[in-house]
Amino acid sequence: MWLRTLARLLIAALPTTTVAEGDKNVLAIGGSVTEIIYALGEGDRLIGRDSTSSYPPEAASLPDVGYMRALAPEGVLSVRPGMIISEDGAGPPETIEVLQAADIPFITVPGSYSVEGIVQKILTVGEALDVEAASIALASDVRMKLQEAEAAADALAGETPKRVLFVLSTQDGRIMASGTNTAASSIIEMAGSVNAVTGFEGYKPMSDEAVIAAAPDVILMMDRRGDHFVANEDLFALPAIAATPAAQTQSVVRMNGLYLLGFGPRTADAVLELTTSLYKG
Amino acid sequence: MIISEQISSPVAPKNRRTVARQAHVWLALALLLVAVLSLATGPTGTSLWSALGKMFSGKPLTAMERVVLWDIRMPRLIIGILVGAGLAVSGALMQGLFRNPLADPGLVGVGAGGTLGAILAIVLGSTLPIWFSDIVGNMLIPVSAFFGSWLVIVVLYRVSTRHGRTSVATMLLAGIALAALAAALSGIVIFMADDQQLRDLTFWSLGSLAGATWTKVVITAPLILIAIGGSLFLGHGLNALALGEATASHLGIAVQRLKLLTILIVAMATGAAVAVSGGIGFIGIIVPHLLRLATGPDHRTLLLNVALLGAAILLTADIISRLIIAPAELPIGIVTAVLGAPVFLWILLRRRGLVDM
Amino acid sequence: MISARDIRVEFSKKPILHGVDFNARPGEVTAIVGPNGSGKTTLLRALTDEVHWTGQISVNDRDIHAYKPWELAAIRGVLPQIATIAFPFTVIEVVRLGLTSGTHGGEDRIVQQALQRVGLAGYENRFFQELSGGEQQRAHLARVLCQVWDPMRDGTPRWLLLDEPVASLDIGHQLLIMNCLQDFARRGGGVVAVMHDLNLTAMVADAVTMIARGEAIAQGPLPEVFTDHWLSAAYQCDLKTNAVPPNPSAFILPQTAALRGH
Repeated sequence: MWLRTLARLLIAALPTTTVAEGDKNVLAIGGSVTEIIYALGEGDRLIGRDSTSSYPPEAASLPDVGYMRALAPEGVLSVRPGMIISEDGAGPPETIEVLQAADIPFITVPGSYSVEGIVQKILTVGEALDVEAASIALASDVRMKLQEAEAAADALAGETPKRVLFVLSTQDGRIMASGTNTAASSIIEMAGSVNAVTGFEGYKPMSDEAVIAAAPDVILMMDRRGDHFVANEDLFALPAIAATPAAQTQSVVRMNGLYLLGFGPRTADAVLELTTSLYKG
Repeated sequence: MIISEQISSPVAPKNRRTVARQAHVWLALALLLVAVLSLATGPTGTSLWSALGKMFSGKPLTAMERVVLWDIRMPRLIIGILVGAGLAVSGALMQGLFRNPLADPGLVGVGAGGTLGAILAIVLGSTLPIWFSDIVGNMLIPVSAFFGSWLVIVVLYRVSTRHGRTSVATMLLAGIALAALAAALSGIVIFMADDQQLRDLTFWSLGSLAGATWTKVVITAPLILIAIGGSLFLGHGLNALALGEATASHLGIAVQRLKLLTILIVAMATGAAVAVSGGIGFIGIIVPHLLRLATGPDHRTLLLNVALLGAAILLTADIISRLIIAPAELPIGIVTAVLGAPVFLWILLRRRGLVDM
Repeated sequence: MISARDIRVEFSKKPILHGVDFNARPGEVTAIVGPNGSGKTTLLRALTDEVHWTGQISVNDRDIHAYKPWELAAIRGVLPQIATIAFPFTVIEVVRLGLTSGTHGGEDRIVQQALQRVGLAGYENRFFQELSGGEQQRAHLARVLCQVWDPMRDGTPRWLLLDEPVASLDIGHQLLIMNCLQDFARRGGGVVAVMHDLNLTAMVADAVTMIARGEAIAQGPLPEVFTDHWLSAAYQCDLKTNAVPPNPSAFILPQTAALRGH
């Protein structure tokens, strides 16, 4: 506490430096925040990002401060940020406190898994970067696209929306699936479909019988490379999946994780793509 | 007159005791060196020397220098020393208590209890009333981890102590059972966790000194310093214990009291270390082993050397973890494992004769 | 004086000692003999409090329970039958453990002399774990000797309690050690030793307690206990004490100088 006061006194005694528009000193934390910043045309102001910021490709060349919930204070300071814009949930709290004691503006961008949530994120980022006009434009554009996408999805789904099971992983043959109140669940609904699981919240392991009882028409997964990748033959060979309608039609949809679940500016496109995959095969 | 046999087997150097005492000085110097290095390096490139220069000539430090040197590096340095020394001494004490060079604090379930405490705090922390969270603040996880460790140790002690005598063999088995129980309870709580909490737990388990704050220093320093200080008095007793409990008792050692003190000290030091830095492995086994090979197993000199070397090694690992993938940070548990495992294997291969029981 | 009254020991409800009385006087070597399983080692372990016993034991006219561990250690050294060691200590480090604090000045002098007495001079820096069984036993004896270096101090006799001290030694070393114990007793200390070898016992002991089937069937000076009658009763076979070898087969005897009194 006393340190902040001391820090403030010291800063007041030094020649002031302000976070002027156009300065390259913004640290973005959280994939959707980074995407929004680039979408607003302010990507040049970024001086660093976190490990979940994988889009656009230019972001990859920025210094990576690590996983957003396990930030190291000196590591963050070493990229010399003049401002930090972060998704909800950055941590640990000790690091955030040190950054605040160093008098670096830390703006948290709250969001929820909904159209309004995305709009709110865009507006908050825009305000932080002092580009409110651009953010209002982007936000309304995004809102419109999302509403169109949802409408199109509802139309395609019609009277028989598909039952979708989002599978996070099948390590050791255990199905880790999404229940309600997750990004996956929300995106499924935005695509006019029904989450096959309603019995629990969050991502949890499901018993084989529960998966069969859920009777999904389609399996939705993130597309991954390496040893997390499960080939179709292996996926449908799992006893839990083999007895589902999805297995009979060999219906599986794979999409990039940040694209599908990030709830950022590309979400409308993601919804459209998902809907197409679900209903047009 | 009996004629002595020709000496053909390896012989220890004369006066291992003197060597061990000299090691106090060398290790203290090494620790000092690493400590200064730790304070002087970091991803921001903040220079210790220019800051000292400014302080001596009366000029004010920049906010960055103040925050980096005083808020980040200093508490981290102190916690690193305390945790490194605490874990290493705990390892040596456990090996003395169980009379086995492979024993480590994990055997008494301290780690499992600490993890259970941390998991409870991470997953259920948000369900606590606001007034409580406000008081405890960031210390919820460390405090919970510490109590978890203590709970396991208390139960373990009670289970293994009958008629005022603690059976070390029972402790070993009961420790395994309790660790399994703690893991099972942890599993149940993990099941209730959401994605973010799971990741928090993963990182906690890998160990890190990044969350070092002055509050943590103030709370853990007395615990660990008292523990280490107390252990220095147990040297002769542990030496005697190496011959077996009966012999130790015939040599005049109050064996039960020795066991109790050892367990208490391990609980304090490891409990505090695990609480503030998560799961850091290998220090408790490697450091005492290296020193026993270099300067002999006499606990009277071993324990202090172990504390100094443990601190120096952990600080070194911390420097690596801070710089190797800057600006991100590698959890320190990974560094100690990557460094520790090959060293351990190398020791075993080189000196097979001295390790066989 | 070590005296014990009505010592009873049982393991898992099975009685091992059925109320044994025992006495040992300072200045004497008292041997405890008997067949395997008779309870002779158990008696010693009761005296050293290593097993749960009932009865009364007093050392130097003081009840054993009244002693603090370090007080007992100052007047009584115990040599176990086997003692493994957990870490790579050297011989000298193990022997030094026997020194109670307060003799810092004379420390190494005493340790060297003790090693000499047991025939391990020059073994100081060898690793204990690398010694043979017999050598380890002798090193432990050196340690115990250091612990009670002065057999008589301030008028208080000090004690050596040993469980088969020469069991794994060759005959040369057996004689060395038995002489060492005898010397300790001659200088005023008390020695109580569980002995397996009857002939060695006959050469060295002043008093004998004979244990058989959990009871002390005979106690007293050596000539009174080592009779055909008692020996045969204890060991359940026909034993004869011989003053000279009566039969033609080889009967190994050390030089007469090593025999008591003759």
